[in-house]
Amino acid sequence: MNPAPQVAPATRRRVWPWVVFGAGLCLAPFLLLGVAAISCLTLDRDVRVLRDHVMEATDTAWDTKIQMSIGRLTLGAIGQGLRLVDHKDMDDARLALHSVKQASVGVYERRAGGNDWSREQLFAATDRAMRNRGWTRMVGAAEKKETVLAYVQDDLDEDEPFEICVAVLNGKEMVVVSTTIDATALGDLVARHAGDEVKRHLRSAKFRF
Amino acid sequence: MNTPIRFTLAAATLSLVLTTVTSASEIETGAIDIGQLMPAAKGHFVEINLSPAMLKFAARIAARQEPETAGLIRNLKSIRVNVVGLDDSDRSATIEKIEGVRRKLETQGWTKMVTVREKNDGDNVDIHVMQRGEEAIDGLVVTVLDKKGEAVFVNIVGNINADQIAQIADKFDLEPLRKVHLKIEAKKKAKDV
Repeated sequence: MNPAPQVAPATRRRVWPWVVFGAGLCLAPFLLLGVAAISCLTLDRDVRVLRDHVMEATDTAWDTKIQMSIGRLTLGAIGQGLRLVDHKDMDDARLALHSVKQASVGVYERRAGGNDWSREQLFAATDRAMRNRGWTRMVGAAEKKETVLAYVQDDLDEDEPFEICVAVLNGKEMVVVSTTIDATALGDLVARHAGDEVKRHLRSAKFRF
Repeated sequence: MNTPIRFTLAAATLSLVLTTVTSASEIETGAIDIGQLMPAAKGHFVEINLSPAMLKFAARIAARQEPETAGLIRNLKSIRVNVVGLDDSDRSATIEKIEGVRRKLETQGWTKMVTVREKNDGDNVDIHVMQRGEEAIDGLVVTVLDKKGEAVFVNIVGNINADQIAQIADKFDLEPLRKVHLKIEAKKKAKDV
């Protein structure tokens, strides 16, 4: 009597990795798209902390209107796309795009109530939360129902692009932005676009104490 | 008291003293700490804090259009500006804070360069400088109690020379800064005579 052939199980074992690989290959674009969509539709972690603390301090419910993040890849792709567009202001647009390395933006609308919140508490709570994450408040401004908070990172390197987190709050809306800006490109844009204008304004302005 | 406990206490005291000395020396010459100011319930409020890195960043942006201004900014170490709108909830505390700062400056070797006192509760402005030698200053503090009902505190820290002050005063038509420059020049001339 001849022994049973051993070939069939070995063949079955070799098929499964290929099936998994094939399925992975088919699903990979969808997974990548999903990850890209999630990263595009959520805010960066630091600006999320800022948003959460502002929301908490204002003691009201907010609805999300817009929330998106754009990274270097997307900005690079937009930059490449702009090469194909012919317009007189396109150089400025390219320079503006070049000065921004990444951006995360959220716009929220107040649902109801929350008119009695304390500005002092808002400043103190957000300062504490951001300080714990290595951010210092560069600008704080409050006028009637409008409040602006801008934070920069403590360990800024003057030669590197710098990150800034901003929250603007008015009666009904809140806007939070975090972005990374390249000083040289921004300087070029300012020099080209607003240089003489700004100079003229500064010269004609009368600063008085 | 046995020896190990005494030794531990001595070490703790020494480290406390060293920590205090270190934190005191961390405050830059020309900087004045007035603590954290917070917005009142109704009045307006502005606070700007610029660190050395931010100032260098600003200098890089300004370099192309305003090289002289960029040079001045590059020499600065920090800028703090506070504008606090006064209402009933914070008026007396803020005025007391500003008056306290003025007293502190005079006891810490700052020179009062400009004083403005207008009649009928008008503007009340003081400019103090921390001089380094005859031609440069390490810090400048402007305190204002304004008739519109606001208090202003400005502290500029860094290496600023008299010529740069004159340039900036002329360029932006800053009359109080021009007075500071004139006072520094007058002091220098008086010393030469």
